[in-house]
Amino acid sequence: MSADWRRYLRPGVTLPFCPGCGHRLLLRHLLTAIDDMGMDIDQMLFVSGIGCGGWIPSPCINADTLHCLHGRAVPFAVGAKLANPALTTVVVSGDGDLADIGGNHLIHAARRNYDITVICANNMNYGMTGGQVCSTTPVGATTHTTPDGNTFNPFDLCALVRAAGAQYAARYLVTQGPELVGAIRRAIGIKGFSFVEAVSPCPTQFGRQNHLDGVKEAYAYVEALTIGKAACREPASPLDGRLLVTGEFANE
Amino acid sequence: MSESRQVLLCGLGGQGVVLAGSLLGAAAFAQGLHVSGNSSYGSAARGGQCRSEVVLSNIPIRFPYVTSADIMVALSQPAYDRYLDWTASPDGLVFYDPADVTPDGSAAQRQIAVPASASAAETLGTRLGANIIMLSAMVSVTDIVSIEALKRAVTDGSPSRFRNLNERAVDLGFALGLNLHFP
Amino acid sequence: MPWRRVRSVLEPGRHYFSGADATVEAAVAARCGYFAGYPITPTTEVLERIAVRFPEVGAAFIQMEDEIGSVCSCIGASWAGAKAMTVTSGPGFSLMQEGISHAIMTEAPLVVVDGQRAGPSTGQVLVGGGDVMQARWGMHGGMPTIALAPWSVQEMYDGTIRAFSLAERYRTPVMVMAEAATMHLREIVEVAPEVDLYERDKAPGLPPFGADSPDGVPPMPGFGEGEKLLVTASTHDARGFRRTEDAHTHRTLTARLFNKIMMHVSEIAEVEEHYLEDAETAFVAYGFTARSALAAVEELRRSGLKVGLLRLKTLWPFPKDEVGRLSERINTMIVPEMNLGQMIHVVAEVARCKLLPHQQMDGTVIYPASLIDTARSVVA
Repeated sequence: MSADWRRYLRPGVTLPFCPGCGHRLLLRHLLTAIDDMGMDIDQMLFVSGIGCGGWIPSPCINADTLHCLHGRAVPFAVGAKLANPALTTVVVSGDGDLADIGGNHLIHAARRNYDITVICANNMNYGMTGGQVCSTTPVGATTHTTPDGNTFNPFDLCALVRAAGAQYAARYLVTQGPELVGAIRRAIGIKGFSFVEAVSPCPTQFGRQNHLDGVKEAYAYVEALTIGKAACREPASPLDGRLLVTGEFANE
Repeated sequence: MSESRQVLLCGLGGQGVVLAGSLLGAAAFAQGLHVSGNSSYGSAARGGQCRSEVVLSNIPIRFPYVTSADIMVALSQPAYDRYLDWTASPDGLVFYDPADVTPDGSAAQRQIAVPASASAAETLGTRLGANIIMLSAMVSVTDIVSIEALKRAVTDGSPSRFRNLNERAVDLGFALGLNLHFP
Repeated sequence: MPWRRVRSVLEPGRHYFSGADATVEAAVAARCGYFAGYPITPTTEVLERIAVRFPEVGAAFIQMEDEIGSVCSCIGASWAGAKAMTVTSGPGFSLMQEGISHAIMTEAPLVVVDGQRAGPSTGQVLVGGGDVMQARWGMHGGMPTIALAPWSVQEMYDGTIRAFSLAERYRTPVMVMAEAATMHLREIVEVAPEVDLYERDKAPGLPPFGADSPDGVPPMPGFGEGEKLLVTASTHDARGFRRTEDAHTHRTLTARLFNKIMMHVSEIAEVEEHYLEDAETAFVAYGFTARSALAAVEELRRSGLKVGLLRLKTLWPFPKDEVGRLSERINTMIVPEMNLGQMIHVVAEVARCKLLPHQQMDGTVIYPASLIDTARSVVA
């Protein structure tokens, strides 16, 4: 892997992520994929919502970026894409933004099969607001709004968007660099709605609340939650909210 | 025609009141009159109490709604009962279908029975078209727009699957109107 | 030159159609490139006609999953270079408020048409006028807005075209505060052979969020033009960098957003005077109600009463100079509204004469007869 991804960073910008934040890795993988593909960055648009995930493209990526209302990155992207179909349009945002407050837009965009790519930086909680439960928080995990542990099953976002009509979905940990870069490349290359979930540890908020006292522990926690598609007999849903199945989910 | 005439068509949503009003407006427009039209919409136009207002004038229209109808066309009893008071008294003309409306004998307005649905059933083989028969009979009696303008509006403005039916209904209504007598 | 004269798309001459039709044809005439909306009575007719009309002229149409998605996708389209519009009614207008605030903050031109119905909430789908304050104060943060109040189908056409030009000129959302009555009214519209349009100002390389003057409107680049735009509704500097903890940046930005509207009130706000030369009593009215007021004025004049009408064609920014000046030479202003008192509060801020409300919120329009009664009570 080359250092070429850095040339897509906006000059003068200090990366805004906490120490150990997985989003920093996701940014690198995204830009590496774009570099690998030889994309014309001036014909790309990066759209993001509100939250830590929204800061991945804005202001970090030196391209057209649109930082939106909380939850609404997908409809902003849809409008831009329909108004200028030449734009390769990529949404990068968080799980709370895309799946909780913006969940309805997400499934409808998948259903209508707009030619956009949605990359979800899934850190399993609302990081920017201080660490609250969201629709991807594992059962039992502690957050500031679930002090006794989350009791609700999380979404399987890949299964959700696939059921809604997405052409392609993939899930990998941000530590699975080559796989994630490959998935992002395939997603951007697909004509139609594509979705990539990057499971991204949040040591600062999620980690501290769950007694994962270092970056290493936070990463070990999400790694323990995941299982490869091939290793999983039923690649359908995160079993009891404890497992995230990694791999690609697309039309055979 | 005097300076301004106000027409109120009313009935149940689905009877074709809105279409009749819009055709009358289109005819008046084609004839070069000033015209404004206003109809029920939403649930009223789908089975509720439905009305369509048309104001025709030789001069620009200030207030576009019916304030006192010179002519009322009633296709249902509830509509008749509700809107009779909107019709000028005693000079207003009220057209009703006797199959659906029993007129208020004490009303001061001049009331004219137009057997539109019976005529439609007999000649067209369906009650559809009764709205156009009523409209055309009213035009025949009042000369509020020319029958040619109305015919053209019906041809241009009817949904394609009802065009032929409505064209026949215009002729039927016009002939009916020629034989109508009113107090 | 940002102003461009283009041919009308619709055949020039007289047409007989509804306010909804006029809205659509105005969008076509203004070269609107993108429409997103969600069905809501009493404006579904706009959506339905656009679904047919926009593909004919090569513009994009999408029925979104809700009004939030509608307005947000319009902002995306606007930044991608298209003139964009959405149409809704009361409940949907409420849902759009956060998006409107985003468009104000990112200075995205946008036209929002509200065919007002009788609220609050679902209320009635029949006519109302209860959203006029929402057009000014509905969004969080409280920035000046531009809102027009058409009174006829002709003005739904002309006014909506003007709304697009105002949106581009001032880089801001412009609201057309129509009413269900005008949306559903069919009237004769005179379509001119040509239309004057203000087109987006382009100046490659210049900061998209900074201006030379404190009331300036920066040029607006779009996505795909190689500008590497940084568009955010968070506090940002002239180049779009977030400065969310910097008081000076926020103060400078919001002052300019305020000034670019409020220092140009005379260019934006329009009023129309009827029978005011010798009037002792005046209606100050807007939208459909102004038609009732004019009919009432003419009736009252026939009986020798010195009554006139000041029609607010623009609600926001409020034409306070015109209202204030008129109030100095008459005895009483009557403010009729299809709500329980909204614009009368703004009139009261500047009026130096007696004020009389005439309020009605029941899903019906205010008829001339009731205004005649009110005016007679003043004169008597």
